[in-house]
Amino acid sequence: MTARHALSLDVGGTFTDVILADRAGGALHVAKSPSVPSAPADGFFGGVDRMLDRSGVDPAEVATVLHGSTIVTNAILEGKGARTGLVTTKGFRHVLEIGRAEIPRAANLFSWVKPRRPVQARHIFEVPGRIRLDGTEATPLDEPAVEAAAEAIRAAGLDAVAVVLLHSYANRAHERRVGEILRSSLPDVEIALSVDVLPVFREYERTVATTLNASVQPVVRRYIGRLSAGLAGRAVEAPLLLMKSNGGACLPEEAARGAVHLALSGPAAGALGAAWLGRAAGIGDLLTIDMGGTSADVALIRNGQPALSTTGRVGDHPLAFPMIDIHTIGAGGGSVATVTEQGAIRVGPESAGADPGPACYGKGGARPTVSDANLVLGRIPPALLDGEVALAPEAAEAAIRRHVAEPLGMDLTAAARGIVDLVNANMTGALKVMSVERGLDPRDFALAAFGGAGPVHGAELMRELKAARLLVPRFPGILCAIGLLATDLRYDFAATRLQRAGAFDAAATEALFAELTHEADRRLEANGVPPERRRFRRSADMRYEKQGVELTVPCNGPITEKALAALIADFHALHERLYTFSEPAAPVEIVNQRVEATGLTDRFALPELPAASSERPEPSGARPACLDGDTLRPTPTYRRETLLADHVIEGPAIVDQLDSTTVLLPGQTALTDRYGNLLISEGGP
Amino acid sequence: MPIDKVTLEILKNHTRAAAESMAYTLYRTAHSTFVKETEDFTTGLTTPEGETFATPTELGATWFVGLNYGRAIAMIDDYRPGDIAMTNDPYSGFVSTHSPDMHIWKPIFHEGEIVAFSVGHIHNTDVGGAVPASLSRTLSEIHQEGVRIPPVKILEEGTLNRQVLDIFLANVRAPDQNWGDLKAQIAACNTGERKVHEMIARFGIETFRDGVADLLDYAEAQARAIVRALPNGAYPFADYMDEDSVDGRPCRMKLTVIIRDEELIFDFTGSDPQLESSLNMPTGGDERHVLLLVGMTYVLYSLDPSLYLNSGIARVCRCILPSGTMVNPEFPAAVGMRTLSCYRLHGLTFGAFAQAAPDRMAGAPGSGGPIMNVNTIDNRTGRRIMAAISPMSGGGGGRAMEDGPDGSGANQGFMKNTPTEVNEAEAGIKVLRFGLARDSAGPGLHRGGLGTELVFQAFSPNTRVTARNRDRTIFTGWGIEGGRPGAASKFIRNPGTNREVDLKNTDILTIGPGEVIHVTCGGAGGWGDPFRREPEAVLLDWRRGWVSTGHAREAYGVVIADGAVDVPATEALRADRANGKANGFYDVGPERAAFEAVWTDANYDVLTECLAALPVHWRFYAKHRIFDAIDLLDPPARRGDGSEVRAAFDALRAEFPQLGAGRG
Repeated sequence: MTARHALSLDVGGTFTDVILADRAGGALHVAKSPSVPSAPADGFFGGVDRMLDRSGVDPAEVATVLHGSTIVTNAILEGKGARTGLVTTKGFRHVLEIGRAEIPRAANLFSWVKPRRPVQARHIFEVPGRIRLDGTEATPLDEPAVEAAAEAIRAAGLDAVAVVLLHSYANRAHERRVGEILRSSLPDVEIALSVDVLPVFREYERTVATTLNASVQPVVRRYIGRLSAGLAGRAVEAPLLLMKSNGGACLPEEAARGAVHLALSGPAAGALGAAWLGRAAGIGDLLTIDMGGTSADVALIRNGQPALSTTGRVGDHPLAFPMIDIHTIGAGGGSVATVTEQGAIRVGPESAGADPGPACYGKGGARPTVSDANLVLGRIPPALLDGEVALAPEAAEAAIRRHVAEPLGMDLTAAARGIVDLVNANMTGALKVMSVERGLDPRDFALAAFGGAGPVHGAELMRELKAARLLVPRFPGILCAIGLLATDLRYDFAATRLQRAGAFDAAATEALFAELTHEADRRLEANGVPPERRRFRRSADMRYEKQGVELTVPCNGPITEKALAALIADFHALHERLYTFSEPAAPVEIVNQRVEATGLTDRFALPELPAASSERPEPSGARPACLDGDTLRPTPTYRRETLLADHVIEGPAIVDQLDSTTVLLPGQTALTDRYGNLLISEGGP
Repeated sequence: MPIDKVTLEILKNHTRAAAESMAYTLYRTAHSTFVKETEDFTTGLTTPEGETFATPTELGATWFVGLNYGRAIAMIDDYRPGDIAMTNDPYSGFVSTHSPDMHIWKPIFHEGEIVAFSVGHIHNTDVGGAVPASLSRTLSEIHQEGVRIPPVKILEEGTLNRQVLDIFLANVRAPDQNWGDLKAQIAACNTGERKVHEMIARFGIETFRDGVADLLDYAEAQARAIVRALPNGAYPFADYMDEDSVDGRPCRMKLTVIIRDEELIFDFTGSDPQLESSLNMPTGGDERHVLLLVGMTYVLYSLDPSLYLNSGIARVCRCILPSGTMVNPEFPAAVGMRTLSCYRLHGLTFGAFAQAAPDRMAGAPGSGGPIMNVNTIDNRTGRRIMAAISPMSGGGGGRAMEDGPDGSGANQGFMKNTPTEVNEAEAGIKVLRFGLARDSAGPGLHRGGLGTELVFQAFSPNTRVTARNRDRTIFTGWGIEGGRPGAASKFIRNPGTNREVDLKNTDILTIGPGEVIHVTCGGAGGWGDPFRREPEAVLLDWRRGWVSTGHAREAYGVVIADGAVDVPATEALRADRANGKANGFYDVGPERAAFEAVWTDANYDVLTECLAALPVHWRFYAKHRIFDAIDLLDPPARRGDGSEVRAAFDALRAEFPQLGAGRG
């Protein structure tokens, strides 16, 4: 018996989505079970048990367990990391507290409270010793001071400690030595060195990443311990892979050491899932929108791969390593509509959440939400989850009338329409941030809409953006769990070595790349990846002299004088694309060098649908709905589960399924592909 | 005709996104450290008349919301598609308010007609003139503050005006940076133009035009609603800069905020006469000049964060600006350091509004920390380096609910600091310390925020350091509701050595290799009685290294021994407080209290009246002569009722018959 199943679990705030996939493209089992926010491992195993029980698959037949988790996100957002200390260079203990000194533009100057830092000021310890920016040593490390810091950390009873020394990216020796001393004095304390977490310049950003990592290390280590023990107890021998923010996976030990890399585990899986479905459908360039109850995540896929950014944030904290480029806005089904004193309508970012939820949930919510507007407009059915959850249209109507229609003297339909138009406008704005602001034209992209609410709005967003096509996955509500199936092992390595214009050193550049690649190779080796499955990609962060922001430019192949010239040309071209101009005569600097290491995993084939015998599927019925304009008209409805490959539906139409509804506008046509995706385009079939 | 609410809201999002997109373009492409690390720039869209209807919310300086480009736009007769105009002249159109701010504007055409302008500014690190970075308090004429470009087309129908550019670049110290920044500005304006065309395509020209008018009306209506909720009344307050010129007299800014239903009047009567230093604020007498209303915008926005930021807000306020004063100077008064005057005016505005809404305002923002430039020679390359280093930020004032934020959060909050790892790479210095200045916070039930401090060392001879906006070494940031003032700022050369020099408010000096500079920002004022602060909160600050044992005792009445609060000693000390009482609503600190014991409101009223009667070029001189005269009086002769000032003025007129006879 060969193990041939992948078990994928995406643990979200409310539900855990579970998929059991046959590597050979056979059965695809899908389940949803409740998450247990107070004990995440219980939620995880609730999902595992339900799936093994339902599918009847022998645990020994599971080849891989893939996992997307919100444990790190929650620990960071809720400030529930371990009690953490910081050892830093003498003279700089307040760097973390001061930050970059700016306050958010939208903040109230008189009530703004500075976000709480991962380490409290009294737990920061200074040690003398100084590395210069060129990596030479100005002052030797004061080892007795490090030992004194270790003693203070022990006395304070801290569980984790971060080490961030000035200019350590240029010479790692002092930090490594501090790490050694701390490890021998404090065997039970988790230690994170900035040279391991983020060895690039800008001390505040590096300190944030390193202290956050230290603070979540114990959390992740405990969690992983429970998962490993629980899997072993269920006779699941398969390796556990955890999804990281960079769209790749890692083994449990790496996850504990680089814990902060799990911060965008969930959204990264969603983008990866969309990328995979897109590739299967022959679409390489996608804008994705994952719209749930409280927020919408927008991401970008280029050439079949999710775009990464090194300027992302998690909560209030900047995290300057490669992460899926996600833009999140407060636009979800539960986003609340309000009318301001001056008579303007606002939708979001405030959300009614899951409790009380939208007015139509009948759980006491009295304020109108996007879901209420969709219900009033007939865009979603009067019952969700196949009738398990009945909605209350009268409550939705009353809320919209009272809080929007009456204050503005509008009729009910126009008010509901206004709410939908505004939430669409907010999402369009976010999609433009992800495309136009990155120098890309949305018309060159297809849009992928998923999450429970995404497909309700996707058709309008596509039209507004003039996107080429809209892809609605077969299972829009569990795309993150699907994305996990498409993940490879991935690790990022970086180093800062500032090279001024006119003083590039090809040999030294190549040597640094080789060093990074060697480090990357050892990591994959340690992860058990055979040599033929290892892939390495190089890139360089470059800028014009005096610019403060770098662009990451790919540069594969050995670095020679010629390759450097090509690299500079690529930088100018990328600058031109992103910012509408380049300066071929201006001096260019190379700041950071990066190597991305991938360990390819076994691929799982997407299950296919049988082909339809006729082009047109049978409608399941009709209901009054307002899909465009301002009146409700009878609109045909379809059941998603009845659609087969090559089925074509012309809009206006509504396609209902267990956990989502897809809206098709007049003039649009949907084609079901062999994987069950709806591919929607403007115009006839 | 008003457009429907949903469309207006969507249009609003589009205009904001357009301004944001411009800012993003500019930020990512700008060259100078100052722009890229501190974000001292703006972008926006204006009506054909020059009223700003859209500004970014995420990026850039927050000062110029509602800047009116009208007077500058009107100085060029004929606009064609592809034109871009620029000016940095503070006396041409009153858009640029000091010479480093290069403002540019591009007409946006639709079917042959101008429908909007895309606009913006960048603070250039240097535009030439007498000192590196172009700005110093020592300067007295605009001509010393660098090259001035009156409104001119830098692009004509898309073609670069090479001659103007060459003249500009020939007069600056680091032309590559200026040219790089200007290109970033042009790119941003082009982005704005594209966005406006997209909006017109989407909404139609009529809806766009009507919507823009509605957006201005909308912000105005919001602002009126906020003002209406405040109690009517006249709220006078004054604050000072330490010196009105190098080693000069205190510089007074006086503001009476008058709230009348839904309108505001800002009466600046009582502010100092036009100065012979560069602290003047060039407003051209525009009673809604944005430079005067920044504090108001902060206050209104803080009272209602949903306020839409555009020129409509300015319509609720009118300023009274006596001519020939520092808030309405006449050409060719220097204006380069108006930044400092602006900061002081922000605090002044907050302080005046605090009387109307004490629970929603805070103690004085931390102030007096400089924006610094270093001009040195890189020992390895022999190249001269000119770089901005971190602006020294202050904390926010203590407030009704909690402490002020430390090291940031005040009105300088839009400027990011520069990482030490960047400062050392770009400015050729070694940073020895960058942190929060111990004991700098104004004590209070809720203390003010700590100021930041920086200690650095130079490596080369003839390293020139400019430190703009140095202040608050004498008069400190006031506390309110029983809170105490923040600590004074410091600027010290070679601290702790026998070559130590207290540089006070010096703003330019030359140092040599190995020399050390220590600079701190003044602390923010506290809120509420510090003797009521939780002893444990004081202990926590002590453990963080933010409060010394002595300061805990003196300022808070908390005795710390062996790393813990000595409770009996603390209770005894607090019960025994003899001089812990604050001086009414504001606690301005002993230095200012002593000054105002001589220079009372009544004396200042007479001074204001007398100086106003003099020709502008006599006023600053006369002020100093009258101050000298009052200094020479025996303390018993100082009645503080204005009579001694009147007498001194009469004596002055007797000395100089050319001033004419009669009472002022």
